[in-house]
Amino acid sequence: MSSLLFHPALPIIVGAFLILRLTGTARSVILLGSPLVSLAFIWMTADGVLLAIPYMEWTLEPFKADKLSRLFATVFAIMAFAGNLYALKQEKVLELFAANVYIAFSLGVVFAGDLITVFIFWEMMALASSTVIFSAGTSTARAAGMRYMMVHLLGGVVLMAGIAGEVAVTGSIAFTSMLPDTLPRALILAGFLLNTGAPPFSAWVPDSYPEASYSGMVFLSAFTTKTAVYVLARGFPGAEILIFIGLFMIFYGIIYGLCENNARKMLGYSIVNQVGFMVTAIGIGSAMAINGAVAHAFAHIIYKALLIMATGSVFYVTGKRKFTEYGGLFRTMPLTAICCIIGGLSISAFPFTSGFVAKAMTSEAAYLGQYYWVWYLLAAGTAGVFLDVGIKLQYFVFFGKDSGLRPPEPPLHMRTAMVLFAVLCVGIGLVPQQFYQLLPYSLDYEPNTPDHIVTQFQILLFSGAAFFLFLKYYGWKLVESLTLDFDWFYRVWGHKLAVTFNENSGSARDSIIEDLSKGANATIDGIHHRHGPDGILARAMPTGLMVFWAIIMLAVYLLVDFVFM
Amino acid sequence: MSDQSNSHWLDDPGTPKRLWTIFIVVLVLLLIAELFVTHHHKGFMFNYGFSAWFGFLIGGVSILLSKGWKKILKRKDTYYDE
Repeated sequence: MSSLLFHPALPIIVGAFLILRLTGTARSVILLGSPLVSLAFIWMTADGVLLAIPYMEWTLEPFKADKLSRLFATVFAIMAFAGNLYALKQEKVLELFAANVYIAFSLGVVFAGDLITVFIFWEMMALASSTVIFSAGTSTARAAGMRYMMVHLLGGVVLMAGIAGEVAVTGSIAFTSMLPDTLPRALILAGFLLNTGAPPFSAWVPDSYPEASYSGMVFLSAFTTKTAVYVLARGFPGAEILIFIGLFMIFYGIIYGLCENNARKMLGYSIVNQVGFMVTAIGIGSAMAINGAVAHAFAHIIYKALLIMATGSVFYVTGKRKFTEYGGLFRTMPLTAICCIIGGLSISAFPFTSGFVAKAMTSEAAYLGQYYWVWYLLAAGTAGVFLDVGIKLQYFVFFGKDSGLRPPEPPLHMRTAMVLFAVLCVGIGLVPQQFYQLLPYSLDYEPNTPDHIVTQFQILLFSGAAFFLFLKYYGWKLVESLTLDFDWFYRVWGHKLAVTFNENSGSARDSIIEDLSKGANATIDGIHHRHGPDGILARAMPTGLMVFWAIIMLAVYLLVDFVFM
Repeated sequence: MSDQSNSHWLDDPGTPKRLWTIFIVVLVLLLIAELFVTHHHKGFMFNYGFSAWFGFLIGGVSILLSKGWKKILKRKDTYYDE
């Protein structure tokens, strides 16, 4: 039980409660200190089951560690540190509290050794992350938070059904590698996939995350989708259906991202796109592919947070979030622009960035596993991402047509957080072998070879050439629009259904309520009749009557005794 | 002190042309560089120049696909606000 004191989630959850009470410097110290203590705990954690609790006929393993869980926990703690630094002056304490609780629960998932523990932390994450969205306080955030919660509670029900079925079929709650070969396992897979942003419910990511505050979205981008990647990598490596789902997500993210006019929503689409690469890698399932998926998750958390911090900074200082309102911001925000560009290059897998050394392994795995068609689509995906986040985002926010806006750089703590992550993006790209040592499998692979670097530059820059040629000859018309997605079905038809149900079921509901209240009133009247002030059972009895009845009873007793004895 | 923010070198009218020249030079250099590297793997995707034309093709196709998709499913961004 004492091992629980060293659970990496503990410092963060204690910190979350402390920041509710503290202000000023003390709060800053806790915000920055708790992730560092957590990081120390993560690296002190030994392999194996560290805590086992008997529960009914099973044994829960709420604290179990190996290289995979440590890797995810490490990047979660780093993210918690940078996120808290970025959000240091966030006035909404509820957001900071919810975000830190959310981080602690996601650490709970990555150290969970059994399905029941996974499920419990999974659901608590959904509630905490919804609170992060709600705490933005706007009416659109409330509506988006409700949609987010509905989708995730649906996913939770599917996951719970799957786990219950799995326990019924196998009698075991162990969370190990499996294939979706039975209905319960397919349901578990579906529950996990929903949190990755897999089709058809991909729209929850771009719909809800951008509605959080400037700092809230930074936290949200890192944990829900990446714990989902973690559970897929542990639970379903080599499930081939994931290749198709992942590839769909890649191109969904690119196409919708290119259509999008809201910069923050566009980054939401690109989360789906990036997680698509990871899901595809998990579907391939070889050691190289799993290394690729988790390395990508690690690198992605950092560069995506960097991108969201940079666009969040622009949102913070301008209050605007649409490309149609931006343009020419490099003049007064050069540092933010440079950080955003580094993030954009990393996400596009530019050589010498973290994205390159991570994604290279997935492509290599597709080649070695003879999934050649997957290799081509992954390469196409890489080119597409570059257009999206590598060029379009940077061009229309920081360059392009001058909007006349001259906002200042964000405050020092926000700039520091961005620089820290920008340095990490480049650092990982320059010394990949040190980074690879953290990965679950030890493999001999070198991404920075001349042929690889030259071809990667070719694929990216020639794809960029297509963009700039298009821009030069046709122009890129930005319009204030959104592009319909699958969420239309529940936001329009679902809404209509609910309204119609409400209207038409009204009379039925009224008559049911009338029947019920009639029954209830009759019962109450009956009780009142017998037990009320005038009821027969509450009436005061004269003493004479009591004596009379006592005599009668005694007489009967005598008679019976005389006759029968 | 004059407003430096309005006299950035990127605002110079000659800049786009210079950037295009640099960009084209880089693209050509990349094609030349590929002549001097040995590919670690064999296959169609490692033929000379594949990455260049494939990247260009995908760039173009992605833009056209997204434009087409947008044409079909574009709505005002206040669509859901009713």
